[in-house]
Amino acid sequence: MLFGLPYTNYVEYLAFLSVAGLTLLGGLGTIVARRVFPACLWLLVCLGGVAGLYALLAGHLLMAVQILVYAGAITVLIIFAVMLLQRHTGRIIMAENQHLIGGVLAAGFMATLILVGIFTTRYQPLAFGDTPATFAGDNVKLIGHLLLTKYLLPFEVVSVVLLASMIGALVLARQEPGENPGAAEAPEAESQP
Amino acid sequence: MALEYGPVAVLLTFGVALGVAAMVTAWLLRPSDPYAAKQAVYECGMEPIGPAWSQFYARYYLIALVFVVFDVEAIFLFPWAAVFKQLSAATAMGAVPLVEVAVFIVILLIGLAYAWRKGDLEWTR
Repeated sequence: MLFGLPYTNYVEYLAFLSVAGLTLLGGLGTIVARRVFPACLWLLVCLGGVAGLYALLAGHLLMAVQILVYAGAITVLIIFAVMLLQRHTGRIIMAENQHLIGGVLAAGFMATLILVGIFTTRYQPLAFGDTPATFAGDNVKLIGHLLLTKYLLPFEVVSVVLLASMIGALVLARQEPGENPGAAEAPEAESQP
Repeated sequence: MALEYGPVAVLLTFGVALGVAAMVTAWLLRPSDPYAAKQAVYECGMEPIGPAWSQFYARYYLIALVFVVFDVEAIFLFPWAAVFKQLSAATAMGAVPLVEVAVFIVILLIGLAYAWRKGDLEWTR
């Protein structure tokens, strides 16, 4: 017992505080950084912190998604776009935080929404449907089992969606350099998994 | 739950601490004696010309796009890999999980073939 909490909870609490602090630090750095490139690196810190939060919530697969896709691939895309544009325009891109009041309003609205969500949700244990007992307690295996049995069709459809997004992104991005320099960063929105 | 990732946390902590400790120790121990040749980017070898930020070919962006898609595909293979052995053996499904994931991968390989055919994977064109 430490501070009236069982030992594991104390460790968990400390881990949560450090990971949440890291996430906040990264997010703050992203919006405070004046140059866009360091802002990208701060975003990486923020995404890593979110991965830590998923780990604490036992969302093992989400953590892998967060690290592999968001920290690994999306950040690379953003940095590619920044570096390409920086070169095209021939100057360092500076962050211009012009809409302070609008930003504060939007952030306040989101924060209110999230807080209301947190305090009004009636939490229940996760229900995975009927799954073999051998997979109980390991949510990656549970998800894998569901993907290959009950949700097989969505699983296969995902690959079609990915195929469409890949071809679409290639078609959109495939412009000769100089033809339309700004087009290279257009297809970022598709990459949400 | 937190303790599952205990080893990761320990590794992270010690990894960061080791790097910081090495830098701080070197900073404390080394004499400060800067001169022009020492301050150069390379103490020996060619003088660097131009800025370190050089243009990379814009077409690499296409490769990055393809990479993102296959990254997402790899994520979907994680849960499959976790259950594959048990699912094949325990639930009498035989080769079905293998076929299911093979379909998944083959559909995505069409995209790779498309990118290849269109020359998007060429280093330079």
